[in-house]
Amino acid sequence: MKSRMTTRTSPIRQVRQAKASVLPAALSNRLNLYLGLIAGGLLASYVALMVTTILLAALQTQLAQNIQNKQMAIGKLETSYYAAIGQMDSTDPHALGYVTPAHVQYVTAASPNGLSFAKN
Amino acid sequence: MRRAFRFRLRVLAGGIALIALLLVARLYFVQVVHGAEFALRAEHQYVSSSQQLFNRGAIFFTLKDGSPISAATLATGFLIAINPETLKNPEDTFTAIAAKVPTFDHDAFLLAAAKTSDPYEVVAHHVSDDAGRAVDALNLPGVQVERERWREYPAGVGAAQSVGIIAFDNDNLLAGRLGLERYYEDILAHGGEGVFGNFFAELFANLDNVVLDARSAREGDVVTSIEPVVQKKLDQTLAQVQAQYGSKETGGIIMNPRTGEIYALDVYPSFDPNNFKSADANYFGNPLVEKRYEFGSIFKMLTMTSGLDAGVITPDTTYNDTGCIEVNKKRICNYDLKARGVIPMQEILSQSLNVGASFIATRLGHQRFHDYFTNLGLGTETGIDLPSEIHGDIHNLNSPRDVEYDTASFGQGIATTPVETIRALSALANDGKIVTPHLATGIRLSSGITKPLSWGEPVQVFKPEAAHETDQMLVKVVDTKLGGGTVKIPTMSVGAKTGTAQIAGPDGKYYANLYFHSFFGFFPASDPKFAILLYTREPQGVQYASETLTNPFINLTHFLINYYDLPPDRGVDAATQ
Repeated sequence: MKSRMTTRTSPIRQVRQAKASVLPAALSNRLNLYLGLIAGGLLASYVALMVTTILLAALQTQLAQNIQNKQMAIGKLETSYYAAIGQMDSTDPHALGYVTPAHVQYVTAASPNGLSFAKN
Repeated sequence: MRRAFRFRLRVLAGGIALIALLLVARLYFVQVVHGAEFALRAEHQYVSSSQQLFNRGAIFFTLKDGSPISAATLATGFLIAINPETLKNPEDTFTAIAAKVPTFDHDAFLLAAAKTSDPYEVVAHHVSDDAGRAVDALNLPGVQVERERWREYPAGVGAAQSVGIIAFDNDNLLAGRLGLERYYEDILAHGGEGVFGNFFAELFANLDNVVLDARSAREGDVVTSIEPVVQKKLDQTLAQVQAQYGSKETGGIIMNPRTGEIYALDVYPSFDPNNFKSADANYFGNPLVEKRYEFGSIFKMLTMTSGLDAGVITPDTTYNDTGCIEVNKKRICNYDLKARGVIPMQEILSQSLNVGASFIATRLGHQRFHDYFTNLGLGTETGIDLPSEIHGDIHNLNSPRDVEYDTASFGQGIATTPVETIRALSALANDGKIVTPHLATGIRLSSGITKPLSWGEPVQVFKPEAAHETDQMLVKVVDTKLGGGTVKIPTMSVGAKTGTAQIAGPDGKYYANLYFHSFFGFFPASDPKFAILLYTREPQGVQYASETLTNPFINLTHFLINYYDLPPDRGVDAATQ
């Protein structure tokens, strides 16, 4: 009679085997939960960033347009300024009735803190 | 083993989360940051990536009170484009647009309108803001009005070659091509965001720029020392000389001899950078740095100072002026061939005597003469912040023959650029030290901080005493000789010298009746604030520089004295000084 060798596991080993079959499933569930939370958080932050940036981009565009308009106005004023200088330089003062001074006298410049009635 | 398994899983999960976070961040920059162009497209402000991204730093002149004023800036307006496929009535459309845009070209518009297979044709550029809005308000079918930015030069012709222009090259790249626009291209060019063609390449590239944008530390505006009112005055003066004498070319530089800051510089003929497409390209180059000339007798100032510095002469030294001398079988003569007999050093400058200058050169000897002129920077580039600078040609000073040194002593046989010349001559107005001429004083970064530029320390060439002795001689030239003494300013000491040089032909022989006139002066001689170099090439109907450039120089001097409120340095009571 052939004796069958039956594998009998000890109770401790049985408990361990039961635990081993339960643990991967629990771990898998927790991992899924964590990854899900991370993915959800990333998606939410991405949407929030998009909204914020589009608002900022619109504001930036508006400000940039304002700056460009101001630069344009300044450029026009500067062009007028150069034209005015050129016109002044090309004007003969004698033709406008100005004459060379007959006598020039120099005075000492007042110190910065000194009182003076005349302002240059 | 299970613990190790859990640990590895957690590490893997963490790694995945981190990579995902990085990708999301990068995705944000690629998709959302660059998404601004879609907003602009919605407002009809976007035409093409090059125009939407066109941004460039400004170049500033600086008023005497320190206020900046634009020399190169950006103008904003509109361009008008049509869709020939949907354009209803070209003539009526033209009439409606022309009523708002007076410079609208009829023939060019009809030509564009005839291209019915082309959905987009630009018919007008640089339309003003008011005109563009007016055309947009007409709501003409087939007509689009879009934002445009372009480079504008408010100063116009003033310092055009030095400020420069921007233009496209053969590779369709818009960049600075002349002057400061080209020299400071890397600072003025405010680069666009530059999206890669491949999405994944863009996703993973340039990650360092996400953290720190290095461009903000480099891009900005260029601030120069050019004073716009002084510039305009110099332009007017040069244009007057050019027109009066029919010269080939007239140029000038006004500089601070202590610091090398240039207040004004220009050359005529010139061009308008706002309309350079219709200008003569021959005038685009900048002769102040790109051409060399034999300046003539103004070099006698350097010869005199070299002799005084070396101790081979003193102001009281005399020599026998025979009118002409023979050196190495060549004749060197005074301008009028006349002998003066025994005369002091002062007369070499007062009467501009070639024989006297040769006398000093002979006393100095070849080596010392060569050393002084090379120490003054002659024959080398100045390092000015303008492109395409060349150096002078003084190779004659390596010759073993005496005649080369004698002719160099009065500024012939050696050729220098105008900028090189004013650098050397300004040593007389700066206690014997040379400085680096320059235009830019600082870079104004986008953050608002102005980064000053350093141009090196002055280099001592002459002893201060030698320079001052020459200065006194030059003041006597102005007070007693120039214009017969009529241009003397009693309350301001001005030192100056004229130069009339012959022009060499391609065969090396000098023309009989073609001259190069030059003039160098500085004031107040007691403490110089300004150095002025003027020149005019081939003036017609006149021989000597004293006839062409004396009055322009004195007029500029009076202008600068009044404009900068320079106090008198002589001729008044001690109590008022």
